[in-house]
Amino acid sequence: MMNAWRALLCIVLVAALLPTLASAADTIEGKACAHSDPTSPDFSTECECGQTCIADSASTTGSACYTVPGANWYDPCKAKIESQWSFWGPIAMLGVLCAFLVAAFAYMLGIGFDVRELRMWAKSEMYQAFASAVLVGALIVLTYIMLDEGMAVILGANVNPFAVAHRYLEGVANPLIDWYRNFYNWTYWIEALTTLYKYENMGPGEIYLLVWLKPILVDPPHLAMHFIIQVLMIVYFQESILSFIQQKMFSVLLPLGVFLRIFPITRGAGGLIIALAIGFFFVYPTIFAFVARMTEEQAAMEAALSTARASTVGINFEQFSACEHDFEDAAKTAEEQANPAVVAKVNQFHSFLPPIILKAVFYPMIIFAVTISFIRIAAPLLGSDISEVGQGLVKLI
Amino acid sequence: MGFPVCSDFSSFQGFVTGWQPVVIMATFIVFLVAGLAYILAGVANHRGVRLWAINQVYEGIVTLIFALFFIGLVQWACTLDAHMLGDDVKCAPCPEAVAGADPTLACTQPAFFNIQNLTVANHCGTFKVAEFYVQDFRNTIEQAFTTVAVLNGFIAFASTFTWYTAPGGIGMQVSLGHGLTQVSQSLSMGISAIGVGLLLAMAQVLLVRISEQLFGYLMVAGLLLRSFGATRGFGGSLIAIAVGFFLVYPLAIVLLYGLLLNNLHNDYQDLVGATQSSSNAFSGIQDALASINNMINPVAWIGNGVNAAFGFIATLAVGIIFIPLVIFIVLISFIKGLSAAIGEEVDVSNLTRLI
Repeated sequence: MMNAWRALLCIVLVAALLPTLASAADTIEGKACAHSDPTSPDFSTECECGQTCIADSASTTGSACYTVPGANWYDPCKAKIESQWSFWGPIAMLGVLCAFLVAAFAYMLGIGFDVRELRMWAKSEMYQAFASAVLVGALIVLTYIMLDEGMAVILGANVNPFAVAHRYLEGVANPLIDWYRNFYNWTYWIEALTTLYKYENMGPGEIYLLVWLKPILVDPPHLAMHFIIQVLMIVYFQESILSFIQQKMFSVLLPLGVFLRIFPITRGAGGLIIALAIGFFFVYPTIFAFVARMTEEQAAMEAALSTARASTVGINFEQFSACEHDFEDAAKTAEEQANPAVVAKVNQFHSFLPPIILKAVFYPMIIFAVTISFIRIAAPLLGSDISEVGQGLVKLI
Repeated sequence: MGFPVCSDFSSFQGFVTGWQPVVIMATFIVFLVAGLAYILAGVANHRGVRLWAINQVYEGIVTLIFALFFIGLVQWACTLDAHMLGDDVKCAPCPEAVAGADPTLACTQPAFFNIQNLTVANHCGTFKVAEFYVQDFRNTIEQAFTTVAVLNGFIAFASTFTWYTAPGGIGMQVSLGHGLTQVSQSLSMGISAIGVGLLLAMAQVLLVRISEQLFGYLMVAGLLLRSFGATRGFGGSLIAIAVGFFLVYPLAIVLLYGLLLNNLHNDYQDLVGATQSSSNAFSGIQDALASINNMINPVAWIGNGVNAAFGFIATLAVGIIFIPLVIFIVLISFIKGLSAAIGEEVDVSNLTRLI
């Protein structure tokens, strides 16, 4: 009995301290990394593309990943490509020479045995070998052009589209976490109260006194928390994909794709890998940055026009930025046509979800569709035919 | 069913040696038929039959080359060192490793290509490393599943905490921990997601093993069918599928899962770190307070336990959705290219309907 009282006392004490506790925010800065030479910055490490591994005594390995101020965000990416290509480049050049040799030999045989098809194939392979030679010889230059003259010109040299995309997704996830926390705080003690039970050891009078509160005050937040977790999973999934692409995909896949593109039987796979690397490294985050800017600017404009506007449904739509007018107008119309008490209760718990779903699911889906479309168009230009697979991917979206 | 080609190379060699004369015999029959047709075409002065006969001879020669050099090619492929994809590739544990030593170190080969010593290179071979990676992926998911399930067990247990008082037989009862049920339900969703991930990872492990085991059968059947004109296209397609799953699939797994596993391990460590804070032993009143606090405190939970669990699930989702998708389309692209070159282009439109 005494133990139960002590436990109850602990719970009450802790519950009283709840608001004073804060969660630690995740950060991608300062992640420990292995550093071969602590006296100089190291680009070719496990840091995300855009960060450099530099000496840090606070880190467990003595080095940590940081964004170096002043430098272009993509300089470490270029350095990674150079590092990879210093290994793959000579092998790829050898492959190109082999391709020329095979094509020339086939042409000789085609003339010798008077096989027209073989001659045609040899000519076609010669052109492909030229294209591969250009790609192999100028990969570093092409990467510079894509980054310095492409991304930097479109977005600005100091704008890291990956950071913008991460911020966009954090901007979606953080309110969700806040809402989850608020709903939990809101329902915890009410839910406990709904279990209040009149007890007697004889007679039929066992009654849950406050269970009627459950469908009104407990179940709607539970439903909202259920949706929040689902949307949160989608947002975290996108963050993981972005990190994966930024950290590893480009610097590994691009050289490999160029190498595989040299040989006839792996040309399709190579071209596709190049298209995937470019599509996911350039197109995907760039479109993300555009969408993020679009929604940020919209929110700023709304804030400037009406700094003290209060939401009529108990939710501040400015937190969620996207298409505020539409949702607010729709909510107003619904409010006018339905039972005000019911609408107010529903809005209280769920009206934040549509704009969040728009930002967490709809916009990213469009971004993904644009990326896939780019890959579908770019892959045939690079020697890969993915028309059927591409159709399947579009169906997947 | 079948045998792993690289792990059990001698059985594979025996199997191929048994079938090789059949393929060669079939090719010679084709040569014979083509020769007869050529003679008849010369007698009848039929240009079409003559061209057909020449074409059959060309294709027969190609099939003969495949059949004769097939074992050598497979041996080369089996001894491809996975380090060609990067120095940070880890070899599979070696059975011959010294007890107590790091099993991955004993078979690390610095050489780029290791063709001489098949036994050692086998453990750094792409198939072994691919299987090791997907197995590691699966094991990490399994551990996370257990961790989150135990965590959820604690939460579910705490949610049953009930207080009652009944002086004189009449009183009241209230479930003080009942508010935790929602957190428990959220974690249950996480457990379901991890469970699905575990199933898909198991399927990947099986697919890697099956693709190695089926290679011998598919390749021999492909060669045999490719010998005859009527089944040449289908035979070429079978060879392309066999080679795609034997060469490209494990290489793609080593490359892409190798990139992901570090992140997954880090996320799992975060998850373990976050859950340890809530499962500390009750060594004193301060720890007890901290533990109970972590159990029911939403701020700490969202910030640590639940957040870490869903962070892990996000990385897991990359491994079970995004990476297999990339591997699949690269593989299909390779199979299409190779089948078009040696036989008949595989029609993948039916496969895309599966998506």
